[in-house]
Amino acid sequence: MLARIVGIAAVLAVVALYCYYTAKRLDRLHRRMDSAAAALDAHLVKRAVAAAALARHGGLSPALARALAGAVEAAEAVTGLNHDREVVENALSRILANIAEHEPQLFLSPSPVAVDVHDDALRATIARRFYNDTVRDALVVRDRRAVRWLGLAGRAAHPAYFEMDDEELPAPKISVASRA
Amino acid sequence: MRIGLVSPYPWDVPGGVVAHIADLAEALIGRGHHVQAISPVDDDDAVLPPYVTRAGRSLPIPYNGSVSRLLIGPVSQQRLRRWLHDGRFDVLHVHSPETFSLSLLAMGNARGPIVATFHASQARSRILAILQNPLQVYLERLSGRIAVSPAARKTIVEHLGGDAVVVPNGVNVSRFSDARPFAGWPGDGGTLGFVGRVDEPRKGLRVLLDAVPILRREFPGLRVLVAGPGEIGNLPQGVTALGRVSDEDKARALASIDAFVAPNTGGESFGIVLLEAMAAGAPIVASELEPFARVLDDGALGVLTAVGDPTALAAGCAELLRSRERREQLAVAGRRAVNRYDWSVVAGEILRVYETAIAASTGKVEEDPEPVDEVVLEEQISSLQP
Repeated sequence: MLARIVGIAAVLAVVALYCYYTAKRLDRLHRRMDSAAAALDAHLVKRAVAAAALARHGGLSPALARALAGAVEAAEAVTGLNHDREVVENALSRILANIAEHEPQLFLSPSPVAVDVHDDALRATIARRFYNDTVRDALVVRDRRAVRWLGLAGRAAHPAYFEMDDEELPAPKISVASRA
Repeated sequence: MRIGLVSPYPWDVPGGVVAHIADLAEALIGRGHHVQAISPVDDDDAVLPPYVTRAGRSLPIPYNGSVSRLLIGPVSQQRLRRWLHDGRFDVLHVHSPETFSLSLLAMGNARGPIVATFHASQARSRILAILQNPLQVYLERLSGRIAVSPAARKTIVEHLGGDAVVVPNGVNVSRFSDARPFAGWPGDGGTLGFVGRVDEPRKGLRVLLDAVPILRREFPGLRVLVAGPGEIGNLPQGVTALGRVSDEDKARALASIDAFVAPNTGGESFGIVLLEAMAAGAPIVASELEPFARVLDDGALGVLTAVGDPTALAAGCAELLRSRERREQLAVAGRRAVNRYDWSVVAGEILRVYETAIAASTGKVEEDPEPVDEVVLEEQISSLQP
């Protein structure tokens, strides 16, 4: 009888310890994910602001400038990292890629407007990878059977990847000599 | 910005990763940042740059035919935590986190913005796959990951899960572009160069030595300059081995040749030697490995030849030895292309990653009050689950 009680107590202690550490681990992962999400959101906003400046810059054909301004407006109208945001940010990416293709001299010239768009687009790409890494890391733990059964993830929303097309824009020309 | 760099390998043992960290540190310091590095150091008398803190000696661990020198231990942990505390870093940058080393220890003992660079080559990927589970508790503490090449990024995506930002290795262009050739080199008979461990089969010196007799039929005065450590047997006629060389002499060796040969048979994730050769203005003949083809822009910046094939290598070398014009053209193209990899450019890209990592985390780097050994306990308990 005593042996059984000790046995049950030991099992309960192990389960309790597991719950405690897993909950703590998940809490840390969720906090990391929240700050990465906020950073991604901020970088996407910055990219849209830089794109708006490019649309006003005057170096674009009127058709492209109008399309870019429209994409920026659409992107700025959506908040949160949801599917709607993916759609509008993707549209903005496509327009920027289109400009890079049709007006390559714009990106190859080191004009401050093009440099900003290039830089902010790159930062948004990096921020997106970092955010998706946090989602992936959280899912590794959350998808464990024990975690789901015991409800260790608490009330935190189910993490979702942020998917968008963000192929790198051509880099403005740099010359080592001129930087030195 | 206050930046803490962590080296997994001893600072006083020459190697690619340590050289990378030293160059990065100097490029960042040159931009006005505050940089500290912590590293294992084997020799108590070793002279270190002022920004390097000793974490202790490394343990030699025989692995894969060679000896890896790693370090983990309570003394290192204490020194590391003090270094983290005193450094008050805005960002912590660990290197080769997949090794059981000071880097892993740093990841387990720090919180805040932590960035890791994976220098891993394909050869390590099998090990990565086995280590994936135990590594996960450490990897999930990173704010962001850097891969030195698309090949290294692919290794991460396939074997560890998650993604990485590609920032290529850097090269100090001016260190190589200003080097003077050795007296009497390259001469008129045609001179080829090789840089790398001479007794590491994957560096491919054997393939080059087998190509030499073929080439000597057309170029009887052919000479080969070999720079790199290791045991080397009998050398064919015309081959000069310099042994281990200083950075300065490596640059001079690259300036002393008509063409640089990279006959590697595998295991490369980037190909930094190619950048050094390009910076020195040496036209390149290289194996058709994926990372090499990428650096050489699919052959636009150098001649690519079949891997491990001395006849094909000889043909590639002969193409360059025959034509001064072609050599000039490749040298000019190489010098232009290599600027993209100058540390002044690459350090800027790494700073961009730091800034994004800082934006994606809260607070500064600090010693973690709950270091990873507790989490490992949790991991062990969870492995008891059905």
